[in-house]
Amino acid sequence: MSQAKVLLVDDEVEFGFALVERLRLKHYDVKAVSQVEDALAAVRNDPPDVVLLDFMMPGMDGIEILKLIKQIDPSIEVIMLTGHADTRIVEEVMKSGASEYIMKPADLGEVIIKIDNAKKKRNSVK
Amino acid sequence: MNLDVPSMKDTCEVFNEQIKEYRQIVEDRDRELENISIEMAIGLSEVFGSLKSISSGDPLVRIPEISNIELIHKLKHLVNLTAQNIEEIVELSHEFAIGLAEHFDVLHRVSAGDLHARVSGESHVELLESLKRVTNKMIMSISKEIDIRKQTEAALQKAHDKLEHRVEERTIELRILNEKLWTEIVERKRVGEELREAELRYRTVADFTYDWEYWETPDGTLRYVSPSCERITGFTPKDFIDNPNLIFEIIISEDHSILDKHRNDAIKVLSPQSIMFRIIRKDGKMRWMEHVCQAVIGNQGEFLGVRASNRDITIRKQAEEKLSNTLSLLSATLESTADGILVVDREGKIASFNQKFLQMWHIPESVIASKDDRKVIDFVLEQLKDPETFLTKVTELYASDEAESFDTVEFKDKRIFERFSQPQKLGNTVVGRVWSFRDITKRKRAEDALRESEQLLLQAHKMEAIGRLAAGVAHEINNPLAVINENAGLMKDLLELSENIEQNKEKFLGTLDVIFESVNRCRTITHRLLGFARRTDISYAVIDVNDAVREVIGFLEKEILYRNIHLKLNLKEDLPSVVSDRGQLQQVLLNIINNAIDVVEKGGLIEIFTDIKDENAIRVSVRDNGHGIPEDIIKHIFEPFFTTKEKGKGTGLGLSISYGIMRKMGGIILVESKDGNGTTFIIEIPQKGGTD
Repeated sequence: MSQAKVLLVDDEVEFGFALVERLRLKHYDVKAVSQVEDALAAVRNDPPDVVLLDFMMPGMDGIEILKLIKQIDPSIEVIMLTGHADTRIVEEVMKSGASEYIMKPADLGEVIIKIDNAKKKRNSVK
Repeated sequence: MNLDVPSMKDTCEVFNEQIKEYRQIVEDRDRELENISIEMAIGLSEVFGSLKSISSGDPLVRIPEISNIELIHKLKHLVNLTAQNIEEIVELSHEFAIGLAEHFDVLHRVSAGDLHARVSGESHVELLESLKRVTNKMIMSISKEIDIRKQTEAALQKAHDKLEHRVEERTIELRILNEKLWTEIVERKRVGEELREAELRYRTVADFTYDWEYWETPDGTLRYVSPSCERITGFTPKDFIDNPNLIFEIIISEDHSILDKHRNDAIKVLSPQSIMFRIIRKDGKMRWMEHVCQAVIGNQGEFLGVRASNRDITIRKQAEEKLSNTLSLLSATLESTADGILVVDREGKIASFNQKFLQMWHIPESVIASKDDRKVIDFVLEQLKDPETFLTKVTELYASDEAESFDTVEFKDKRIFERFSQPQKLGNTVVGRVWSFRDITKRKRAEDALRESEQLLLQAHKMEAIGRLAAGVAHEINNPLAVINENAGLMKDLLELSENIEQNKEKFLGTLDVIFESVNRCRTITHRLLGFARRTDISYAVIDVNDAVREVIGFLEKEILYRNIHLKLNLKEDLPSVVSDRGQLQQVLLNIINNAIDVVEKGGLIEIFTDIKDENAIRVSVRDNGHGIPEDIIKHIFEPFFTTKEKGKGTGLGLSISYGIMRKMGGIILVESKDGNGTTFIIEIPQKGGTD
């Protein structure tokens, strides 16, 4: 199984740069965007296997973006990233179709496991 | 004629001589004429001078009659003659005047009573001499006549004197008689007047008595009834005199027995007896009478009847009734009040108390029966937690008449009384002191319980606020932490891949910068949070309201950003600072801005204004364009526990606490809203201090 193709959506640019580089070092095909529009364009034009989506994006919350992504391609697995520790939000996120969530700050190992699981899940669905 | 020159010459000479001679003559004549006219002028002036003197009354003037001019000589002579005649006339009239003057003098003296006066002067003026004779003769005849009259008068006087003497004698006799008579008349008049006065005096006293007076004779008839009976009963004195039983008839039947008993008693005793009964007036109105009567005893000890006085005491009776009503009302009130009441007079004697007082203080009958406040105090002291303070206060209040006091008294058995004390006054005089005690044990406990639950609620709200803050803060801190985590992880990854640090040096330095920057972000957030949390105690300080607003926005801006809410700050520049509690003020701002964030839609608008309300207050307005607050809800929004948020999302205390905080600050919180048209919360912060 080839490495998953990952789209990172986070307005925290320095976070995105570092995570992208680390994932690349692990040979993931990773792209990062910090704007909602760029994220949706990427999903449409170059669909990833897994989207790492920050819950709090300026102007639109993560759940809405999640729904939009699922509208474009329901097979894309979305892992929510959140700085919140509120379990109610986690419930809502999972109900809205996210496959996983990751609390910031996260251990890279956890991130990789969750990406891989999502990729497996996507493959199995395919 | 010889016409030769010499002859002519001679002729001329002769001619000239002739002319010379004529000229001499003419000149002489001129000189002569001149002398004559001068002499004439002098003579005339002398004549005129003399005439002037005569006409001004000087007939003695004479002028020399010498003059070369005949006319002047004669004129002067005539003038001198005239002067002489006039001088003689003047002399004669002078003598005549003197003679007449003597006559006038003599006649004057005679008329003044001098009958011996006679005209005596000799004169050669005939008229004067004959006048003298007539005058003297007339004087003599008058003198004679006067003498005869004098003799007659003397005889008459004598007769008159005699008569007068006799008249005088008779007059004295008459005067003595007259005086005797007068004395008798005066005496009789005086006695009459005295009698009349006495009568008037007694009648006045009797008729003008205010009370209804009468005199009942032993046979039951009325000898006298005062006119005042008409005012009191409506019946006239005549009505009573004509019908002696009328008195009894107008007394209401219930009171007949009183009068009967009184009549029996009155016969036995001579001292005044008093009873009260009611009458029905002629007009049907009831009046209360106070009746006093006394036996009348004559000089010889004989019984002359009864003298009675009836006084209208209706008003007094009504007042008494009212007073007794009031007293009964007061006593009922005193007993029905939930307070224990004690009244002590200035001598320390208990003037009044109610049963509640005895119950509250557990005072036995034996103690209160003494009526001694001192004993009551001694009895209650041992029940108290702090008897000394109690006693001091009591002593202090008894020492100052006018003082009022209000305090609480605590008991060993945990009861708490409110004690209120104030002077009892009659007019302006302090006559005692009223003590009122109220058992507030239950109320106190309820208040304590309420205060405790309020504290709990405040704590709950604070926890809610902290929870909300913590969620925001967690997000804000977790993000930079994630940045640090990934960048540190990247460095570690790179190091694991290659031992060559030099190769990645530039990259490492950049990554470290990002890490430090993120650490700074975290530090700012934690400091801000600490600063807010630390301000839990009330402490007034000089505050820039704009700064306080900006700081609160600092906590919320991430949320505002992510929710795509437009925030417009219209903070007035050079806003005067206020003296207030920053923490509390920010809590209020946080509450109302949070509410605004909750109600606006995505892409909604929140505007915050600061401005000067007036010289005393600064105003902060928070306006949102949310759906507004319906009318039936807006009146409840400051009530505790009122919330429109779904269950678990709010305690319903935010606005009620904000309201409390603003009140405490001496400020105000207001809300303006139209259903569907957004809401504005306004807080007015006093520029100086709070109320406590």
